[in-house]
Amino acid sequence: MSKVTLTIDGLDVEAEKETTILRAALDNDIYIPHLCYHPELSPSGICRLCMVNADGEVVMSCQTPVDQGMVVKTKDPEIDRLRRTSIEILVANHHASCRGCPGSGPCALQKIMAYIRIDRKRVRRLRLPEEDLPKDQSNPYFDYDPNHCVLCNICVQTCEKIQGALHVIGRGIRTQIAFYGNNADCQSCMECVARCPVGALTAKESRSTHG
Amino acid sequence: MSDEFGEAALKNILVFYEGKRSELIPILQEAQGINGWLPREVMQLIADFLHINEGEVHSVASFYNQFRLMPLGRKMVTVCRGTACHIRGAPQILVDIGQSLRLKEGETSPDLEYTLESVACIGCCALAPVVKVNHKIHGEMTRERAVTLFPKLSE
Amino acid sequence: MSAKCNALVCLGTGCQSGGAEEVLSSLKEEIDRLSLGETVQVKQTGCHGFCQRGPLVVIEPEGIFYSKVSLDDVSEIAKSLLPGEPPVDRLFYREPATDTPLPHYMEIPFYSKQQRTILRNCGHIDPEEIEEYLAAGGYQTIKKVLLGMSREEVIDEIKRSGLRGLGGAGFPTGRKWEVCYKAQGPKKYVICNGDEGDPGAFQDRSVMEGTPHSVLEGMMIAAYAIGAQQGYIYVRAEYPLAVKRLRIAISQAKQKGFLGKDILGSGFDFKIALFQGAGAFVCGEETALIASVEGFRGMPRLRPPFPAESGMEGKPTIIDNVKTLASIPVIIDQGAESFARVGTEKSKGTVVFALTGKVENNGLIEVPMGMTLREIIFDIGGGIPDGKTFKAVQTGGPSGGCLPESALDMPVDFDSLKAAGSMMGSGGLVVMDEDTCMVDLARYFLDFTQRESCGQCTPCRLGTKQLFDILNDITKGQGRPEDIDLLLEISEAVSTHSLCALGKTAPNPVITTIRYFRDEYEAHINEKRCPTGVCGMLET
Repeated sequence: MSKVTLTIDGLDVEAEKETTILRAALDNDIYIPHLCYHPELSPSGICRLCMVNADGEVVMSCQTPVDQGMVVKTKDPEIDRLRRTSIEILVANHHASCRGCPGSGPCALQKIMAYIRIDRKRVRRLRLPEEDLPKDQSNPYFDYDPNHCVLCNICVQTCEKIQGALHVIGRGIRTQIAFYGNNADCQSCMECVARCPVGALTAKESRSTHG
Repeated sequence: MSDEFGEAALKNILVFYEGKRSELIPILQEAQGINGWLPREVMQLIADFLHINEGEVHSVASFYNQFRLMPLGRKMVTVCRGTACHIRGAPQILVDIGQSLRLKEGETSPDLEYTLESVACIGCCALAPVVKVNHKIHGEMTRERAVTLFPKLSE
Repeated sequence: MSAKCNALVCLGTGCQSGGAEEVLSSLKEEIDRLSLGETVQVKQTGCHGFCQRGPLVVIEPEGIFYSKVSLDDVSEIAKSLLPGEPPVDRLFYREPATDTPLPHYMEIPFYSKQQRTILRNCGHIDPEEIEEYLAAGGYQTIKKVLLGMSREEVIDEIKRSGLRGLGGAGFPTGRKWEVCYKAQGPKKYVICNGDEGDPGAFQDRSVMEGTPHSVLEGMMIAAYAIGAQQGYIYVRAEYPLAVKRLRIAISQAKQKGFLGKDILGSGFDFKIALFQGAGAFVCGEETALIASVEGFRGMPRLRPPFPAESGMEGKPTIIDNVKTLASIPVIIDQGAESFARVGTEKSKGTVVFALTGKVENNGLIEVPMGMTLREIIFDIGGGIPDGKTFKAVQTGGPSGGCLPESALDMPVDFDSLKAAGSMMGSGGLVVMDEDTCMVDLARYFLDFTQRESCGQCTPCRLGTKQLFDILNDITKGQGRPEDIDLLLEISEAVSTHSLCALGKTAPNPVITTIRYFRDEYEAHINEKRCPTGVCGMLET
């Protein structure tokens, strides 16, 4: 496959022609905030956090292919301002604290919060969800905690290619991941748990006492 | 075996379909006609017919307002919250009816007598505000009249 | 009364809820009883437009207009149809200011200022009889197209007409068709988008109910132009009358050979199937609509690819609004130039609105693009009832904005509405008077969008919920001083970053009410006071 050269944040980067800006950046250790991207899945473009400035235009980097001579800026004041608001909304709606969260550490949301240097005072301007949602512990191998879930859809897409035992249910703010109690279909490959970017899907053994 | 969920009726519906994925929504619409809601057994049979996972059927059904995944009350009380109804006092009527039925929006009473719902627009904007009990439309509703729709409760 | 006449009873949804069906059957009986069957034909029609005055009965060819007709009036109307009998003047519409009776509907300002093109058959023919559509010149344009025009000529005609999609976004229809025509593949689809989900809008429903064959004919022409063999009409299950009449229309068109194989001996094959939407506002978005027809959750997909290149089952697909398709036969019939003479430079033709809310005359109207909001609300609509004053007009439903008094002289077209912060949307026009609280109204629309968000993308799912929660607090007297800025900040993030048009336009009611009615927000937040008294404040 032919290669193209582009500039990301002033750095010359070589990438395969069909690849996306996000992938080219990540391959070169340039971080762009993202939740729903996984290298082995096709981009779903639903977290809407990976926007960059490409040749003067704001685009979603997970959807936009690289081009020869393209100039990409992963940060600019306009992008940072609106992305900050989106992330604050996400954090405000995240029912859980990081203390004792099984996802803590490799958590993608924590990484994004550190990247934008989250300001808790600004988050407190927002309205917090009223009640905690019940966990789904019906699967014999792992648990689902909707309070931690960011609905990146990675687990559903992953399972779709293996067993199709995980599904999105509901709509709008009530959207969740569900097993529908259909554990016969789950082959306990644990791939969904491994790919969960936050602490929403956790193996039974590591079940935390925190909510 | 008893046919509690209308398996026979469902089979009569399915003979008119080819088993293609694109038939899922029309099938669910017809199947809901059997019981007024979609019991799990019915969704399982539809999943088998279309060769898809039961969870997939549930995932689709849970997306649309039309599909009901819980049994309904014998009396469906629907309060319209269309723009015209809203301006003319529908929100208060919903609150009042909710209090007299002791139900929140979307709930069904434990004895399966009432289900309380609101709907985006019934389309009778000229009669606003409107409350529907089963198929009967009660127009130009007031707080006072709303409560008298349920005589049983005052007994 | 004249020798031969038609007594037309409007059976639109509005008139039906007022008892028009009973009026129709009773009028038929009376006419039989008076042995007038030879001279008087009693017919049902689709929506005549003046829904608020329903049930309506119109006597053609004179155009005598009876409003608010009840069962008790029927025998008198029947008697008036006897030779030499005068009309029933007590059922005439009366000019509210002067009480002057206006016997003919074309004298009533509600009608006289309109220009009915898309609705030309609505209220005049029986929508359940294909013969009536044929007698009114129906299916002449599909003949003209199939027997005398190349596909390129049809597309060129539509392009030159300047027609833009009447579903809201206003994309040029001819250009969309051209992309689909050029897209490769033996299989293509035409979808008619009848998923009109905005509360307070019923214009697509009225067109489907009142002149279903116009929609079918428009679809046939579109299908021929792009090379499609299969069409779908996506109609809300909440519109049972539209479903019924479309079903009848499709089967009649099949019987007459306008649908099926080798139509009119031209070698063109085309079928139309009905698909009933299962209740999701977002399915009005074209990629969500496709997902729904394919049997999936109605969640919008990333564009590009656009459906014209890769739509239903990955095949090239055009999706056009009901009114857009109903305009197609008019353009072919009149010619592009004649069509383009109506309207403004960039918005051609006419636009259909459902005029509702705090306005004297509620109903279905059609006006040339470029008419001002003032003419629509005060001349056609008859102004604000009960001596109240106008406050705002909302266009475009939950995706649109609220425009104040100062916008009333703006011409109504795609670009002016957009520039003012609203949009054409599918064509609802809701009028508010001094008693309407604009903060409560913004809360109302955000309640709608947050319920109807598909939940897929983060800004829309969580952002609309935040907006709703904040507005809810404000209307309860729990607003905080920083809330107005916060609402604007979230609105900008949601409209910039959302994946589909639902999210991108959802903040419009918030942005426009803050822009034009900021003082109402400030009264709620700073003084814990609702200027209109609509919001029940916790603090007193």
